[in-house]
Amino acid sequence: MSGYQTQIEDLRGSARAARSASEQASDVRLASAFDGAGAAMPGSRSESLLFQAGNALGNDVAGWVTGADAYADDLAAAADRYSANEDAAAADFATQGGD
Amino acid sequence: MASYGDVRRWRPGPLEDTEQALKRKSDSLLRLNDEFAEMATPREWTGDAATSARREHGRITGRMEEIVASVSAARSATGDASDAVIGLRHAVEEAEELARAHGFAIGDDGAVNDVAPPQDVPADDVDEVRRERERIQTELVDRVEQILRRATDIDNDLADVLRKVSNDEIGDDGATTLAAAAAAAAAGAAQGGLSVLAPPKGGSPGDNAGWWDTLSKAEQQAIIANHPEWIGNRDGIPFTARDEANRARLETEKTRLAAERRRLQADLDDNLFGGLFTNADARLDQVEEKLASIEVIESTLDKGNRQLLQFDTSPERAEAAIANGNVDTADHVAVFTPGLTSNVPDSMVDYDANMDNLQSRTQDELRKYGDGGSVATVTWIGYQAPQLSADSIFSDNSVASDQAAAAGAEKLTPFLQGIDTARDTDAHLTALGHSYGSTTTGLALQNDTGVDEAVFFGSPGLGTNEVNDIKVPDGHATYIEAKRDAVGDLGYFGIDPSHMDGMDYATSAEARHPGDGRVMNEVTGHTSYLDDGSTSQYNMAVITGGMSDRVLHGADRGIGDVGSWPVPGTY
Amino acid sequence: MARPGNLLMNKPRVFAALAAAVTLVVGGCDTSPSEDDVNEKFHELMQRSDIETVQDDYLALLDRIRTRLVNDLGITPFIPDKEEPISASGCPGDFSAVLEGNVRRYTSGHSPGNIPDTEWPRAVDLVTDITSNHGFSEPKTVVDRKGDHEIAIYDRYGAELIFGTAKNTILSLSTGCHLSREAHQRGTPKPRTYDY
Repeated sequence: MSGYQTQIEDLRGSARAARSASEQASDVRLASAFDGAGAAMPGSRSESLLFQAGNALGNDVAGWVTGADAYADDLAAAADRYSANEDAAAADFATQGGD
Repeated sequence: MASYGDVRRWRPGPLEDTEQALKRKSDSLLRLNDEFAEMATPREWTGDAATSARREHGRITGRMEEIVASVSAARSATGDASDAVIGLRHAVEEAEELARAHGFAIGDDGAVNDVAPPQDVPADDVDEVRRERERIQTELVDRVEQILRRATDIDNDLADVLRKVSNDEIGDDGATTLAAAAAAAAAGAAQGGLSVLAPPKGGSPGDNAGWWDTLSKAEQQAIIANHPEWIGNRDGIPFTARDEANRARLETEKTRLAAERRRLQADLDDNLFGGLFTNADARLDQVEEKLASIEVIESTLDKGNRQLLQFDTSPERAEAAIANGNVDTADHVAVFTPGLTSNVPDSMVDYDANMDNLQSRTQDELRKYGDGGSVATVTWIGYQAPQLSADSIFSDNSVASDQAAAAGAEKLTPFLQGIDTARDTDAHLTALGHSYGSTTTGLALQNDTGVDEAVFFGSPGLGTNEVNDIKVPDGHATYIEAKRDAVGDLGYFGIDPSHMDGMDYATSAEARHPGDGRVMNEVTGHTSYLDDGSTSQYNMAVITGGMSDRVLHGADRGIGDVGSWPVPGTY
Repeated sequence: MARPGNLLMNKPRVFAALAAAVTLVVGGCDTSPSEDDVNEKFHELMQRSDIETVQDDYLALLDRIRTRLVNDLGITPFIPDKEEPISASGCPGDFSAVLEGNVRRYTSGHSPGNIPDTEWPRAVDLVTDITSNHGFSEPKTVVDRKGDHEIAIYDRYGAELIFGTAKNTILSLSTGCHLSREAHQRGTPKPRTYDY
């Protein structure tokens, strides 16, 4: 068992928070906010741009979710690594010292 | 660009739905704030992996701020566009209703088509009906033009923001933590706000009314607050709004002129030769005249139930028009244009009192005999009426030249046109012109103005020899002349109206009303026509109230009118 | 259509000076009042009650007349107009030089319907009975015919009370010229702020 359990748990907590944020964000379907909006202004330039903006924002969030998931994965992987490897933990959490 | 047929189908609902949905979704994103605090890397963690993770965390936090800013921009833009489309729809409905009421239809291409010309118009009314319909058709064309201008403006503004949202060009204004997401949202919202469309340049009253009607209530209020100079003197804008704007301008102008006065006074005090070489003293006189005008306008407005319809300090002498009553809603509106020597500081109090009397008399008549309709009377000193000073008599502004009247008519015409244009229903509209002001009025009424009755009194000429040039319904141009009014006999700007074929003549003499037996007071000379209780005032009151069957007819020709008889073939 | 500029060209330019001269003779409309003139008129107005004092009196008078007409004669109660029942302005004519002069006009709206011819003399008696206690003179008949009557009654300051009946019955009053309370208390005209 690593002597750096608290720090490693903190890392896992950060990963969980990132995962949770990602899950919540992916439920926010921004594109759907624009459903039917174009009907407000038929014949206008905005008509198609409303659709495009909705798509763009939807993609933005999807891209963000991917980024947040990758971040969560990275943190979780790091935590696993520190659990398995006391030396690595000692190196990276050196300033705090062990239990 | 959208066609009129497209714009007719524009509606705010879907944009409002989008705005609401974006609000909910933006709130959801902002609620991630707790997670964002917790997902930060532990402070004790160091090394390459930690550095890399921190960089990653910074990136995703920053990215979310950008997304929130973009959502806010889109939300703000769709919300504003939704409000703007409400205004636009209102303008479309106004135009459609106006068209329908007068037998016109607006095509999908925006053309104003005559679809139901009135049938069985009595021969006497043909000219008047044609004139009125031409006026409405012109107004409709202007309104459609403004609707399309506004539609394009809304579309361009919204499209601009949407393109930025799509291209990721909305900045978060430097927000660096998601705790600052609210700030990012505000930054985005500011970038999503739509512009306020400025009024049409050199617009006709129809253009101006069309523009104003396309604005939402919030936009209209914003213009009154931030750009009162856009609408204070803009004919076609509702007078309640003009009044509000002009009252605000009164304050700013007072401050500006007081500063200018101090500066000019200081210049004069510092200058050994006074204003001899600098003209500063003449300029100071003008500034003082304008400040005195403001003082008189304020004291008149303080009497209550007034509207400041026009206010301009840019010409040599201040110009103003003040209404007693509400010109937007009164059933009967009379606009009085005074003549020689009238100016705001010296004339407004007296004329405004005359107009208040006229309003009261007209209302009494309407309550007693008529439908009890409401009345508004306007003192219009909206032009540079000639003054009696040595240097003005021989200038372009001289009473002996029609230039001031012609320039005045160019302003009076759209002012009169703007009354019916700004209103939901046409007023029964009377133009009253005295002395040189009758020349100004006579020239203005040679255009289609929507004026139903013209009363000229003490006139040196109407700017024409033909009563048919005065575009009011046949039999509704009336002339009143008092005995011993030499100006009324000049026949200078056109023949003496006392001798105009087709003119209706109302008396100014002491008279017993043939109908009800009342006896009214005679006025004589050039300056008493509006005296309270006089025959001439009574005649103006019943005409203003739309009861011209009660007019006391008769021409009070004096010796001067014998000399002013036009010799056939010489005019 | 002849433009006046064209008309003018047919006439000798000398006419211009003549026109100006004639206009000078007949008097313009308004010219700046002299300080003496303002002082004199102000002094004259100082002899009268201020506008707020006379307003209290006139409004009470009108109220009394309306109540008596409704109670004693049984006419329909007066219906106020949609607009303000009081309008105000500066003083027209001679007193217009005094910027702090006021005229106010009070309307009672209208009482729907006509006071029958046979009742009219009683209505006039009722009104003049009240007005005579407020310094008003004998009534002047304005209109007197079948189904249409009107009287005007004046006080010494030029206030005019109008009482008439035709399609509807009306009662209105306009005051003479009175100083604002502030001016009356001050006792001298507000000095002119600007010289131009």
